[in-house]
Amino acid sequence: MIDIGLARISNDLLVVAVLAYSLAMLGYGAEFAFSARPKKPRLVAHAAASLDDLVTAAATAPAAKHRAASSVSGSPRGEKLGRYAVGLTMFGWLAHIGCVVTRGLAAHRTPWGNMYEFSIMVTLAAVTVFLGSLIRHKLRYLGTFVMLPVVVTLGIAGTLLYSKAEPLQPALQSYWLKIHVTAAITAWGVFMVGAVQTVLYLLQERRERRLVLAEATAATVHAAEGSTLVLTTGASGGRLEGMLSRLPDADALDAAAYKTIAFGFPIWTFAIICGSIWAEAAWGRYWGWDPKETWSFITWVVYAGYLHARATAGWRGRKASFIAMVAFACLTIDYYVVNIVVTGLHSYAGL
Amino acid sequence: MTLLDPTGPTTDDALGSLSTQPTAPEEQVAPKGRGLLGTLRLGWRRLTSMRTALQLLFLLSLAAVPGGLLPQRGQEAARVQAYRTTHKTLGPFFDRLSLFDVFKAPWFAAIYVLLFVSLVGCLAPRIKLHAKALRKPPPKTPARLSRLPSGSTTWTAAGNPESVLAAAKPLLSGWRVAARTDARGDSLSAERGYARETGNLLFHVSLVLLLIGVAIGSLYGYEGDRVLADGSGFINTHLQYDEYRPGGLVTDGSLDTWTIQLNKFVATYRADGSPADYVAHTTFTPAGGKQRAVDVKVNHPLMAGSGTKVYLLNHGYAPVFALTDAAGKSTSSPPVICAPIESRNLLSRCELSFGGLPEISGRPSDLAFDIDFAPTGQLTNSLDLISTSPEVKLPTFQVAPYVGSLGHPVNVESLDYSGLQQLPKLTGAILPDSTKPLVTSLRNLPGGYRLSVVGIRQWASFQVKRDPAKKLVLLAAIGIVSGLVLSLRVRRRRLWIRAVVAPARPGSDSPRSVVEVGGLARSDQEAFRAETKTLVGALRGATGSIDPTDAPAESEGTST
Repeated sequence: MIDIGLARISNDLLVVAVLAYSLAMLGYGAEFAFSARPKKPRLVAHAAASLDDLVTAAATAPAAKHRAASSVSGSPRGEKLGRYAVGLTMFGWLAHIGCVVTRGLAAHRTPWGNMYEFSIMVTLAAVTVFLGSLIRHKLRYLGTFVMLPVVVTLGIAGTLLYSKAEPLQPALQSYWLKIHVTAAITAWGVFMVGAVQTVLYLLQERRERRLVLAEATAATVHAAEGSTLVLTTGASGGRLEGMLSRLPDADALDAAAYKTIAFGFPIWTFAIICGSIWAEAAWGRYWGWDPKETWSFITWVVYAGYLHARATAGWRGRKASFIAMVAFACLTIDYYVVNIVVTGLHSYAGL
Repeated sequence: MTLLDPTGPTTDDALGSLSTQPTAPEEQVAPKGRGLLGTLRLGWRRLTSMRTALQLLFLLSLAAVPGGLLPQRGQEAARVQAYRTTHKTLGPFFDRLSLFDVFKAPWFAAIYVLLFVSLVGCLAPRIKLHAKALRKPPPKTPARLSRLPSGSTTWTAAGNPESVLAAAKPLLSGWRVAARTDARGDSLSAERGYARETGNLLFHVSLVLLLIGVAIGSLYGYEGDRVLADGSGFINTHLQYDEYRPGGLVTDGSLDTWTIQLNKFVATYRADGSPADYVAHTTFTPAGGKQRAVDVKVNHPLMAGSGTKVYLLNHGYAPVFALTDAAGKSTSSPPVICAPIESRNLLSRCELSFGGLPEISGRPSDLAFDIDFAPTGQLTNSLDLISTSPEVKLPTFQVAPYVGSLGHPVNVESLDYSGLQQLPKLTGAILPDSTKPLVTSLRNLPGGYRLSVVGIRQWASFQVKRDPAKKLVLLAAIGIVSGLVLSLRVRRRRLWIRAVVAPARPGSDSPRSVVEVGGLARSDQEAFRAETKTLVGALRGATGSIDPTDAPAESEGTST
């Protein structure tokens, strides 16, 4: 029998979690706003020997400001807000866990049998990855950007995808459910964080390129005057300048994104293989090109392409990051579109 | 920069596969040979390059997209047909491009075959290289450690070079270490993390094994579908399947002749009508073996021996009818398999015919019935039959009788209505646990016949599957995951420590050495810097007093 009381508590806890995450998102954003910008490095060029020297100097200027700490240099107020935000995130995380547990207790089964429950689990995985990485690495700058898709996903889940707590159909009553779906959900959450980092990298990389261009142009102008000049790394003038100047540099973001995706890829591979083993036990074939299987395969191949791109000359950096975004798009299609629009053997995992 | 020549750019050869830069594009170096041989060599080089692998991977994922969006004939032939009828121009066009059969299409096969050829062509030399590297000691110490991409650390330590290097050895446990002496002094070369490349190769080799396993399975395996009503059974031969799909190299006589008999299919439902469990109670007799009772359930197939498995797929209802003539003689029909047209409450449809009946007034008077069955039936306002529950609570039949000549039906499954004339439709409900005849008008069928329902049984459909290469595929899958984890998590490192005699401090006799430490990392540069710092700190502590004036100097290195 479904425990209605527990099911209601689960719904309430979801609302609590969403509220906490939203407030945390604001908190991280505020920490950002109050933090100081990193000091602008200055290059001093004496009686410019040649235009080439200046251009080279300008081109290597961004390299000089690297080895920056990957945390935002904080003002005390910003630091406090940041810590409140982390506290709110943890509170939301506990409420989130409570939501999952009460849902499972209400339905007398592990709570991942339909899209509503999946969305809740995946966002929980993403927040867990984020909180976990905060222990070892100073990634608080990621806070706003991870909370945003989490809140959006939970919002969609709670409004459009909501379904009442129910028992599972016979086809889903297998211990493989726990293994396969856990792995898929974890990988999804990790990839979500990786996608956030990739977007930030692309924005930062574009900004740095513009900075280099601006400096080279400035050097051209000043060189004509032939005097001792001081080049400062000025603003690139973009709309996101304020936010991006407080983030770590592009290379650091790229390395972080790669680490995250490289962590998630084996988990995703394992999820697909587990699914195949379960499919073999339930349906008699380990692979049938069911739409969900097909799109999981496509996602896997594109992420494999990303990993290959990072080891290919000329493809590292921006091009590889575009591939990572395409891969995440495929993952999103795999989850939303396949469950709702396309039907196949996996369709009971839908609404 | 080569190992011996400190000037010039770092090439792949010198620092080998440890370079932190991506592999240089092979296209820049033209292979030897002109004409056809040269072109072939160039082509092969291009095919096995990373760039081609990238392009093929994208092509593969792109090619799979229509397979994930459009219905595929292999799983949903009916939906493909429906798509073709609703999209009258696009449908047949897509079909000609094999977009409804993407994964069996030759162009899809071409992509993955090319990808695997590229893979194997790249793997073979890399396996050889790695095998060699596993046997060789770590490479010679570069002449100028300060020119390494992450620079080097130099300081002056107490003790002569031998004692310094001896102190360094225990710090390098877990590394493969080689001591050398060259023109510049004594040094240690250390390397570790070979498992990264081993894992990488294991992963890619497992992919090839996976493909081989899939190919063997599809050539030597088979698949068969069979519907069984309660009380009937079949023998595992190609003749007794409703649908039989053998692999390319499977011969008809090679199937194991076991028998399975469905005794009873039981479905249990919850209060709201959703299914709780499905069980097929069967009796299984292996070829030349003893009978045994086996329950086949959705996630628990029957193991029929030699890797063959029997899966429970679908189920439905199979009513048994009887036709009684005017004299009271009855003919029973076998259980009539009714196919569900609505999956939740199992509203089903079936056909029934009785042939060879005596003619009436010289005209053929065989009887046929088009039947709709609802386990718990209800009539809508427009007198359509719907079912409100999958359980048999109020079995209701809607029967459209036909009389005439049965003709020669095209297949066993459907009647040829061309020679038949329809009589008025009738609906009748049967109370549970009774075999009361349908509404009385069905008594007055031409020829004085009466149709009645004798019982309501269930049917279950089974899929038999044999895949001889399943274990190989599973093994390959395990290799894929373990290889992947190793190749992404293990850190490959090279480290060099050089100790050169340094002039003694004025006024003291104790020997001193200038120590230089530098290394290369394949991945995770930041962590490597931290690791090196720790090692340097430990080595400084191990080599005697740390003189604050002898702080280690770090060179920036040549990394961009």
